[in-house]
Amino acid sequence: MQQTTSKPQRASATASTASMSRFLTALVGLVVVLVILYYGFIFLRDSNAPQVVNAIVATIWGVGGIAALFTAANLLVEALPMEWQRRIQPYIFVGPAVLMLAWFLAIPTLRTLYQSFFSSDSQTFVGLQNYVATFTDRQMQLSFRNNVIWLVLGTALSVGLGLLIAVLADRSKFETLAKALIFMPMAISFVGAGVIWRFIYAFAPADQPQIGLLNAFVVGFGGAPQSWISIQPWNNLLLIVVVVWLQTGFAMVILSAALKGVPEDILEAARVDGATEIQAFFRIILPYLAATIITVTTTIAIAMLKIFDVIMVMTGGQYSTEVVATQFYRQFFINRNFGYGAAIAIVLFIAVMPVIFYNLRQLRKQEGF
Amino acid sequence: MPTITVTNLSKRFGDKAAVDNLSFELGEHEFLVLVGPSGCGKTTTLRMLAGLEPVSSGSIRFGEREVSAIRPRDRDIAMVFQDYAVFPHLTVFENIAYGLRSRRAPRALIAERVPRAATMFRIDHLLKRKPRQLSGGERQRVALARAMVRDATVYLYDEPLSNLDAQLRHQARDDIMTLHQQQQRPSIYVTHDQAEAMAMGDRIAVMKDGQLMQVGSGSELYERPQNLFVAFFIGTPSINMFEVELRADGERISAVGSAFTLGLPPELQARVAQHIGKRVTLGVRPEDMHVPKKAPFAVSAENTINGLVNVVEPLATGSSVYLSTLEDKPHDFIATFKVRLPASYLNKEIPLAINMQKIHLFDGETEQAII
Repeated sequence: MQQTTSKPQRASATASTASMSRFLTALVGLVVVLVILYYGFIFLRDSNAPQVVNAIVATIWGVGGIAALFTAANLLVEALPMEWQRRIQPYIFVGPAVLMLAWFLAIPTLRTLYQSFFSSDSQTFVGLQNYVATFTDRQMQLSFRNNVIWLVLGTALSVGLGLLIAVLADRSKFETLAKALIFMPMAISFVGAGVIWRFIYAFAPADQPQIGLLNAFVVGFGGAPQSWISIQPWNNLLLIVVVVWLQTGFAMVILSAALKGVPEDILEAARVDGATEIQAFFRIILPYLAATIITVTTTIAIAMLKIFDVIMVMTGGQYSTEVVATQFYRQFFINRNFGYGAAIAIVLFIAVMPVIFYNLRQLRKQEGF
Repeated sequence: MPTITVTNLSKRFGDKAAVDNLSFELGEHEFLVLVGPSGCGKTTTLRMLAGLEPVSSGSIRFGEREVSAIRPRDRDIAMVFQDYAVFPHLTVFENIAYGLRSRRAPRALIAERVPRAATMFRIDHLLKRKPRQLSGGERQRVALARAMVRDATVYLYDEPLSNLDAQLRHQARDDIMTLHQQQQRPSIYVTHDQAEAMAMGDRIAVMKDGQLMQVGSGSELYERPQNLFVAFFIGTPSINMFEVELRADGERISAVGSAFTLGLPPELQARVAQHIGKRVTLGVRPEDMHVPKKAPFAVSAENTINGLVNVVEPLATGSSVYLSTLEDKPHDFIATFKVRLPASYLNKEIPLAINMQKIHLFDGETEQAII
């Protein structure tokens, strides 16, 4: 009797010895990895080696270090009892990402919020004074107006044109070619697009040769050349055109994909039941695309609220084309008025937030994540 | 008074003719079933009638009106689709009302007709639901109700039962017949299932490779198939085929196969006279093969085939027996009996008496029926 009970005990004792040794091995492994990473860091900090060597070491150190860290930490967790393992393992994988986000996103946001309540040199507490200035300053009011124009027109034009082109291309023989052409500007950065369109809008006095495409047409048809980007307030529209040129392709591709998902037979059923093509579009296709249209609209709306690069490159905010983001840049980095700049950034952040929340909720509804 | 007249209708995809010179007529209250194996062009034909597929050549007339070049919405048709094609974002009520709304029917008419059609198909309690809250059978009935309220001149059905399970299928079949009896409009029903075709159609049109093989009532197709394909396609289990040669021995003509010799009854002999000495295909329906003792006719060596029993499949009404002929290269065939064949017959050789009045003979080359 005694023998039979002692047997499993001995077995579990050996098992726990084995798991203990596994745990210790893993712990040693983790320590080794940390030591290697530390010396890598020291090496990189003090290195006088050629830059290429540094770059290669840094790459290996960074990528390989993360992989080694994950592996060692995971081994350590797997050596723990089942229950502990299940509890801890998720944090091993999510933890680093959360830490990085906190370091690069959350902390700066909080710091900015803190700064926004202080004077330009962040020394004296000024309460809401910076926020009051944000909403009363004439330049800022102009920026808000412009940002609203960007938000409404830029988003509406991009989504509207994207949808129109997606629907038309769907019925065209040249669908692939047309879509490729419209999509291509997506490959260009906002800054690049700004540079390109500066040439299109470029102006030279009437007695000189015109290098701007638009003015070349105007002069060609006998008109007087215009300094397009200084015509207020229409210059805002001309800048919006640049971003519409970039974003239409994005809207078109997403909407076109959704359009392919509209079942052919419900369209046919609508046609047989007497719908015209226009009725079929508004009563069948559009409701079917509603969720996608909302996602695309919110995504572009966020880009429009944050718009910065195109304006910076093309006018630098002159001729009443300032928006909130350029104002922030000007106050924070050029005027070095940290408090005021931070307050503008926080206002912009709060303005974007609801759109992002709505976008996320929409994505979740579509089981995007 | 035909109300659908199809003349020389063709549809070509590149070189291939999906529908080849099709002509038929349909009377005022008629229910025509188009049946054939997949790829025979039946659905393409239906889609051309609906205007969803452009016509390559030929004409389609509804009454006196030529419709082959006009849009679907102007043809005044109601169509029931294979996958029901209910609109996912509209309620059941709006789905049924769709056809009326898009034709700007008065509100009072919609309010009156939609609930009535819904009641007829037992979905009146679901009017506020969205389609994804419905079962397949209920969606099907929404599609039928949608066709019902339309009061169209022509009704088209594209395999509407193929996504339903066997139980619901009978119910839905009754529903379709209800719809037809209410509306009394010319209707065309496409299916690949010959049993369904036999159960539903006043007339059945059998298609193969884009061509019409035969049009007739179910019993016509079954008892007097005009060609080998129709004989083979209609009926479950399929008709048994044997390659035979017709030989004359004085007055008597017999069909000589590799494993048997059958004497043709005198009344058939005149009709086969031209084919003596030629190879023909003999067709015998499984139910025309009898256990000799139970045969309703005199049995002799002249009308008997011997077979080896391979499988006995009991049925509710008797049994299906899978046999093969007794020869070096055995030829499989099937007999259905009204009695249960005991399993002890398995792997035994048994004689089968053939009802020679009901045999079919087909020309070996043209595959057209001789008798």
